[in-house]
Amino acid sequence: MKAWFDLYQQHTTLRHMNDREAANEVRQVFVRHSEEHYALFKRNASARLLEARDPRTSVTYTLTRDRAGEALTLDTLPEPTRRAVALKHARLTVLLRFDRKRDHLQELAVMLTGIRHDDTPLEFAVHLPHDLEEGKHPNGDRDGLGACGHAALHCHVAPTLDTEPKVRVPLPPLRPAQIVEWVLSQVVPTGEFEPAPWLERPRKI
Amino acid sequence: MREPGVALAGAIERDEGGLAIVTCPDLDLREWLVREVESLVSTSARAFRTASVREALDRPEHMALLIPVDEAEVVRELDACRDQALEPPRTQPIVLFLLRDGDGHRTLALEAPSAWSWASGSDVDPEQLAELDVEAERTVFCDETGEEPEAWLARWRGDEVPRTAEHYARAFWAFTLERR
Repeated sequence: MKAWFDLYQQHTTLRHMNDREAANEVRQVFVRHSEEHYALFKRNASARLLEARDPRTSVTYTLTRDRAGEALTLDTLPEPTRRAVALKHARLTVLLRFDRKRDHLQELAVMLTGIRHDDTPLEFAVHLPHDLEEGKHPNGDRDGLGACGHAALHCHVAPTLDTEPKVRVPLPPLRPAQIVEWVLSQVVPTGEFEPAPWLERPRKI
Repeated sequence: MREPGVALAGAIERDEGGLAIVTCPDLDLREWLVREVESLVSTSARAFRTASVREALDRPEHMALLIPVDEAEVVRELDACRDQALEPPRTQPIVLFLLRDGDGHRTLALEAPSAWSWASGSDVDPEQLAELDVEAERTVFCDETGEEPEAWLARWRGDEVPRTAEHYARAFWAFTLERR
């Protein structure tokens, strides 16, 4: 069980980050994916990451304000990239909550809602639950019976988020920007998004 | 609430080659706001930092992030040389960072009519815009859902609300507005 305990510790350590730095990293991902011929977002998606400061010390960043998420511009991708994309529509939602005074990531959700070419739905959802331990949520981010089945930073992939079984895939300790990149790379699998260094270094036989 | 990032990007892009003013509450936050602008703008803007009006004017095809050492002096200099920004025409703006209630803003209002008109409408205070008005947002939440955030969250926590991305986003927002 040590590996699962270690992973939980890594997720706890991951939470220590400066919110402005983390938000800027996410914005840079949007900028990178809004440029050139394979742009996945309309211009200024980076500007729509809404910062809201709560007087009770927390600060939130949400994409987008209207809760519908930011649409990916899949229909304008060039061939052959467009053909390689399994979804015809997709929207990305990013939710980050920090305790600014403690440089602490309290909660994260990065979700992509998509429609496949056969009109069936597909959801990606990466969650890091709030670690606040309080009356309504006494276990903080420790759900379930153990770290093995309930890693704090985890991902669901299913037609809907209510589809049973609600598979919960553990993720390594990735920062918010890296999670956004990973989610995007799952729906737009091209070398441009996901440069693979091993392609330049052939395996030794 | 107005979206601070959208307001910031709007101020920078409003006038191609114009002057945009970003207001900062203090020096520490100024550094973060400079980094935020750097993270927002397109790589084709080729943004660079400078404290010099001359250097900003000499590179009209680059976005100049003008971070003054002496705010009043920089504003006076901009006021005196607006014409030099017209020829050759700039393709990228100058983004001037000034402290809220500082010497730069005072000089801009009292001594620099040309610079003031140059920046007209392209000034933004993103830190102020990011301040959440909890009561106003609670009213918006109630109008949208017909429920107080606490009532909606009680149904969410009781697994009475389907788990969709949209509902996760609503729950996130309700938690922000919840009275504790």
